[in-house]
Amino acid sequence: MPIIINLDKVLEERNMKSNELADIVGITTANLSILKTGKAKAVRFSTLEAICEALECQPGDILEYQP
Amino acid sequence: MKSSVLLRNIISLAYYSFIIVGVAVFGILIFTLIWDENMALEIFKNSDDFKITSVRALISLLTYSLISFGFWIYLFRLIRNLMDSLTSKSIFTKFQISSFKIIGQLLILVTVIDTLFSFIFEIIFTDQVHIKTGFMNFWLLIVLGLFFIFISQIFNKARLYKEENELTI
Repeated sequence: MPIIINLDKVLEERNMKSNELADIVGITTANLSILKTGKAKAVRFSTLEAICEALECQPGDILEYQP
Repeated sequence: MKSSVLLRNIISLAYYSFIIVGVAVFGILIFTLIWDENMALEIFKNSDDFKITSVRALISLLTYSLISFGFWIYLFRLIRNLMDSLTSKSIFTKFQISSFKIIGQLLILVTVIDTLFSFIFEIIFTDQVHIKTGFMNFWLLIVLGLFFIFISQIFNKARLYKEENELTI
């Protein structure tokens, strides 16, 4: 899929661990791992909103389109 | 889920009935081949639905019936396994999809071969064999087989939707 998830990069910049983000967002670490590895088929707006709120970033910081 | 239990029991009953009848047919065949040729013939001579008047025709028909019973027993076993799988926790699995497809294909195949062979036997053993085959039964089984294949396609689509839903974060 040409959509790249840069969640690891943003997490590192914010000095935040995956399980902390999962707790804040309210999803399981397994689901967050699916998202990070790019195995997810879709992302809900509510999840994206919660991630952006927790990481204080824009959706474009997390998602990147690579043709 | 009472209806599923009832259906499972009916399928099991049909499965075991076919096994019993299959064993009985095998017994009659062995008895006819080894001991007495005419005794079994007496039973079929006066039958309305399955009339046979010669030993040669009887042996051929019993042999074919045994093969056919084998297929039907296998078919009922597949349906039973499928029922068990459907009533378990997971649904839209690859096993269920392939089972629906195989059952449908096998149902059509066995129905067509059964009908074809009954015609062939009537032609080969003219006036020695008379098998009553319901025309409606033939179409009903073909439709049922196609329906099973259709269900397998629906399950395949549902599996994709389920997978997509599970991978939506």
